[in-house]
Amino acid sequence: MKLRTTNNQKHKERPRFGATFLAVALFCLVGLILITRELRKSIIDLPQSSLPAAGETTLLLGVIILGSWLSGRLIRRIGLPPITGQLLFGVLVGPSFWTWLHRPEMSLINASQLVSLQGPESLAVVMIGLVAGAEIDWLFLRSKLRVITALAAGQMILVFITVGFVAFAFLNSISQSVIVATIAATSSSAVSVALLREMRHPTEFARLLLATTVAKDLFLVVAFSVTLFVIAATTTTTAHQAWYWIALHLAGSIGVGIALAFPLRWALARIERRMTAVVLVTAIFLAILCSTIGVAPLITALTLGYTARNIAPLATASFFATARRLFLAVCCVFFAAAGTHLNLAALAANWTVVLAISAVRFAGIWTGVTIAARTNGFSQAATRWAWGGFIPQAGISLALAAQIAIEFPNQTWASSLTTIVIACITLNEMIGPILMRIALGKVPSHE
Amino acid sequence: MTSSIFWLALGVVILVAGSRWTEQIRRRFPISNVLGGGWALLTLGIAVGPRGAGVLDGERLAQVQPILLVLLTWSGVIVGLQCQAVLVRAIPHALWRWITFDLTISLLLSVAAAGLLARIWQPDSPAAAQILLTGIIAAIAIGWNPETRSLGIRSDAPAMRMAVMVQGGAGALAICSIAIATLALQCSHQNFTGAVIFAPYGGMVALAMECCAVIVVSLGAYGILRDSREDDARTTLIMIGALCLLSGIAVAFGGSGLLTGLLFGAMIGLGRRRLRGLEHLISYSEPMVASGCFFFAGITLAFPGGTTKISSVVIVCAIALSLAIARRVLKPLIMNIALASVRDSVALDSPAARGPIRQAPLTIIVLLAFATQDSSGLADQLLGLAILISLLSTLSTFWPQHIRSATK
Repeated sequence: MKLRTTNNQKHKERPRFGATFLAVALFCLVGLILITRELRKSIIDLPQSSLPAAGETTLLLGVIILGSWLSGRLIRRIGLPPITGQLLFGVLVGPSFWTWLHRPEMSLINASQLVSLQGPESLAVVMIGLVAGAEIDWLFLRSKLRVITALAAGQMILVFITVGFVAFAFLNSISQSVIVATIAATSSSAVSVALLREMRHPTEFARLLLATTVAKDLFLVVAFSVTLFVIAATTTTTAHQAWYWIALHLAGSIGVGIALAFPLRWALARIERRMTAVVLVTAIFLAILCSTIGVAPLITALTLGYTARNIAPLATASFFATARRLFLAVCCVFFAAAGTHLNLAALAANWTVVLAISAVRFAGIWTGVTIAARTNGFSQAATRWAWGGFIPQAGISLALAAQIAIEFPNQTWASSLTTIVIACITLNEMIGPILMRIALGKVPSHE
Repeated sequence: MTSSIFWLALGVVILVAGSRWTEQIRRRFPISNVLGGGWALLTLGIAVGPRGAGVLDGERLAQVQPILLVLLTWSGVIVGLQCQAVLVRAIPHALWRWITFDLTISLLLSVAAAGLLARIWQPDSPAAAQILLTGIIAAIAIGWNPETRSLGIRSDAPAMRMAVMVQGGAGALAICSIAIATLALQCSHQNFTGAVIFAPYGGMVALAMECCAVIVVSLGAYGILRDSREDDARTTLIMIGALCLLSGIAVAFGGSGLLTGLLFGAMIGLGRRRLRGLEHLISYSEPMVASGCFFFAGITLAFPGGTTKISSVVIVCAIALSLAIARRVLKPLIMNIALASVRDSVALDSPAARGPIRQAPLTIIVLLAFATQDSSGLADQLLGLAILISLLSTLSTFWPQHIRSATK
């Protein structure tokens, strides 16, 4: 009887897809695309369809969604988070890795084809923002305000000081060191929410990490804008751009998010069918609106998700449940696309400075978070592992890095600084999800 | 900013279409079956398309083309999923007879109609263009609308049997319609000068390779979906990914996505295990796909001969009316002949028996697929004609019935 129970348990726990199945499926998928393209070109001389660009976009999107999901599942078999697999898939099919190896013709997706994926990418950013915002409950936020402030402040101060000093040692410029230190303090809301959604029952610890990351990133966007404004005012004549950026990217983003939450609540209270269409149209509308009026899509969607969920939890329940159903596909697109953008050449070229900055950032986060956790009565496991949740960097960090080149065009230091910062983010993007997954696994669900 | 307003307007239409208020109206008034469903989005498509306000035009239209490709593939999957071994085995002899009759007569009439239409529209068209036109007209003529509830409900056994036969016949003929239209499209294509070329060898080779690619994707997707019955998110992911992939493969081989979708759906449907998660997703998304296709049909369609000359408007309306009347006369006739032997067990006078008069909504999707590959503008005009026939044939199912009721 006991043996049968054990066998049943084993049967239930048996993974549904073996590593062989996943690997063969992934191999077939990539092979299928290569063969399709080759046959299209050489064997059958079909005339150009009127839809080659649209067909290429859907083909690449299909490869990215299925390929990154399969890679995520495959990498999970060796205990790593699916996000790492999705990033690695993006790296392997993208142009950056093969260009670095001087074999650009080997890449499945070339640089011009990446442009056609910008639409799905921006849609994924909006969807991640909506889901991340909806994960934060106002009551939870109010009850944990002190803890969140301590966790965020502890790591921000330490990372800012330590990374600032190391960056100054390498770059020999206060303004550049401040920029690097500010970006180093950011974390990734996208990775946090992706790992949180991966859990069948998100724990309070995971929600706390997400809330802290969101609060910290919002604060750092303001801090970064102020920093850029001050540097621009003292070094260039384009100070008005920084003001414009502050006003639109933060106040504008938050304002648009809050303003849109009310019509969304009104609409959702009156709608009962076709929720998938409503979610998709809302996301598309938001992505286009953000790019048109120049506000940050992630912050706007985050604010919209948070406000709508907290002002009308019942009316928006179905909307956010549908958004979460689509979230797996969204994550596959977002992280694989992020992988294709990873700049491995920059990482290899600046490995000493990148390694030094990342090590100091790591130490700063570890010290700051551990002190904050210990003083706020965290359990032993949570105190030991909470820092792991703040290592990942992705969307917001990359957006801030890109802003350096935009704010200081034609400046040599700006482009080289952007390269270093992106290389640091690349490293943190690759190892961050692994550490966060370990942290979430080490802390028991009741804590 | 115009794009944002457009998406806001589309959101409002979806909101109205999905609201309780619209549902109440639809239940109360049968006429809303003509005006409801995808027709509201078709009107929106006409309004915002290149022939309307021009909000979606040129570059913007090119940006949303991938959505159209995925919708076409999705429509193919919905049709293909009806190929379930259990359902195919359950088709009675009488229904097989009805399907064969309808298919044969529609094909014969299509050859004649294609010759006539080619002579009116493009007198110098080569034989290849006529073959293509025959395939497309056959796709318009074959089959009917599977929906029977709006025609009225009778709950006795013969009437129920009739409704099931109408639905089953529509499903089987939809598969034939897609197969014929895509074969015609695959074997004849336009060259760089715009002339239609008949290339059966190249078309068949491309079709064979397309089928091989679909088989690989289907087997992989089936293997994953088999174990994802309860997992909604994974089913959605695999479906979205497979649809994108199939659309891309279809375009790469000169197809439209309808056939790749059909084959994928058929392979999944013929699998030994029922995929309840997928069935739920398909039934949930069906209205959305139909609405999306109608919206793109609205953007694409062109009124044959233009709308500036009153004489050409009258001629086109007359053609549409005569074709709708032909459906009104021929489809019940074919049904009566094919089902004569089972007259006692099937209620030929039930409301559902008027179902075959209405043109299948799939016709619009098939023509939309043709329009994505045709640069001459003929497909856009045929689409306009098909929509007129669709509207008139739907109206013709109500009108004589009301007169008969009033006379009684």
